[in-house]
Amino acid sequence: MSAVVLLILVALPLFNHNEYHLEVLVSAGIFAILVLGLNVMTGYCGLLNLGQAAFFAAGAYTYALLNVKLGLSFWVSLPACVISAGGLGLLFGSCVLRLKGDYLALVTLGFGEIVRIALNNMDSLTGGPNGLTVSHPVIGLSPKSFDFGIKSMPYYYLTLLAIIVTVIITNRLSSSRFGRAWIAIKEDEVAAACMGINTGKLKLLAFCAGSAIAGFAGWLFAGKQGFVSPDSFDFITSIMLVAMLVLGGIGSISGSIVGAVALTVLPEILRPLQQYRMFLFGAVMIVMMLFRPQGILGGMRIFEEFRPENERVRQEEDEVLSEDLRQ
Amino acid sequence: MVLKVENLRVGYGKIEVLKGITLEVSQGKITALVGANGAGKSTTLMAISGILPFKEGSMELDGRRIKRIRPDEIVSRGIVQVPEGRRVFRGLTVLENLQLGAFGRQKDRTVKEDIERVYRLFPILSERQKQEAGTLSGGEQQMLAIGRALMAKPKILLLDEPSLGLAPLVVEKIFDVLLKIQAEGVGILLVEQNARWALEAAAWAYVLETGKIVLEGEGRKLLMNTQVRKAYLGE
Repeated sequence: MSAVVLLILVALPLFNHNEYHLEVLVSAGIFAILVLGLNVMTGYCGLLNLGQAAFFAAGAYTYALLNVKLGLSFWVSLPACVISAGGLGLLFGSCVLRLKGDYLALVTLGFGEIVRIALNNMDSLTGGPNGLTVSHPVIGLSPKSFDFGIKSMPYYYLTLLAIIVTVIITNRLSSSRFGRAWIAIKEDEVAAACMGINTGKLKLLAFCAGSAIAGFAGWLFAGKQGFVSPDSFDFITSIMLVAMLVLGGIGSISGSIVGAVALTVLPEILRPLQQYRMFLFGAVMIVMMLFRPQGILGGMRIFEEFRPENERVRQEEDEVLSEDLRQ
Repeated sequence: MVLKVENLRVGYGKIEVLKGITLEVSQGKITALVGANGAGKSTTLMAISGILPFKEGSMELDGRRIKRIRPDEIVSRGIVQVPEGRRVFRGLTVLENLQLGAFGRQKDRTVKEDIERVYRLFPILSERQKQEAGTLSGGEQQMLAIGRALMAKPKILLLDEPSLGLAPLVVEKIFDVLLKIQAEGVGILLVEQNARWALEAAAWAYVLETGKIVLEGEGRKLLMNTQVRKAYLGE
């Protein structure tokens, strides 16, 4: 199944040369990486982060600054972008992860705004609202080099590759013992602590991994745009990422991607409706949450068990168990 | 191994729940803690597990004082709790729940053997190993909660109301297993509403009333105590 989808995605630009379509898909792909990162924190570990854009910005600005100030190339900057965003997550997380639920969400929301406003006001370093113009990626050495330039096609394949890498990493994480421990923490933190799980350390790990992935997306975004400014990392971006995750299915890798694509493509499809666009967009979200609260691809696992008929089945099972023991 | 708790005081905000509790649990023995609702039984276990901080008091393990350590460090020293209401990880399978019980010692090669051992104690869990824990019956969930705690190789097991809301025959089966675990050398601190069974099985028992220990003694002797009979056995 996933192989078929991948094949279609790889072949798509060969049949569809529409620059606008590819551009939308590249944006969707970058959002998909951000949502995959958010899924590690929120989907696996239950840490609601309303400031994912801050880590996105950290990755993007790290590349921009390294490129503008030091002249480093796109490819060489990658490790620094991931490390700076992950490090920011580690630093921020170690201060605030003692907070739970809504309180954590509020603090991350504030943090996201602080980062954006800081970038806006540090004119001498970041260029403030004017942003920074950075180089596009280049492959090979100068006479025979290939510049990615402003066409969407090369970025389409680069983004596809980046998504595959992110999927492999997050999939590995979720099936590792850390992944299980994250789900345990999300379900019941006290019970997880009773089982000898160092909840503080593991939450920090999830937060750090999720922010590092956001930094990866930021790196890609900056290279593709050739320009970074604080406007791209506002509060609405963070909220959209959460909406994508919820719509696609919290905790699901394929859901994260589908959610990101759906919420990037939908407003584009609705463009002919002009000012009614966001109105309809909101309506779609509400209807979706009413009829499929677990998200498009969210597992049925969690919701199934709350159905009354299952409660009855469980009671019957206990009676059967008693019967067995009697014999 | 002997766990000693001395003059334990714990509170939530300004409200003091435990007003200086002293008790002792030793390996290979069942120690019971009985008392009415709100007396502070669960709070005692949560404090020993390191989930709730002490306001005052100390904890000693084999004569060595331990102060202010994290819950996972308590577990790695061999004190493991089965919390009230089972609290299994509902979205994870039975097997995954058991694996999580061994989280602190995952590199240990004996994890697989221990899973087998839990399956021998509770054969139903082996039939259900691929099933999500949330779909198990109450009795099976309690068995899983105990099995999960055993995966951490406890020397002392803290059990909070293991019979809560279960059919009598299931309770019987669970208590049988507890006796087996005790016979293998694990010390058990048992908080139980089923005071009769707890007192019968316990080598030593404490009666807790509004945050203070008002009575202690051999379990069977406490069963004869008129005060206890009136208050907890409904006679």
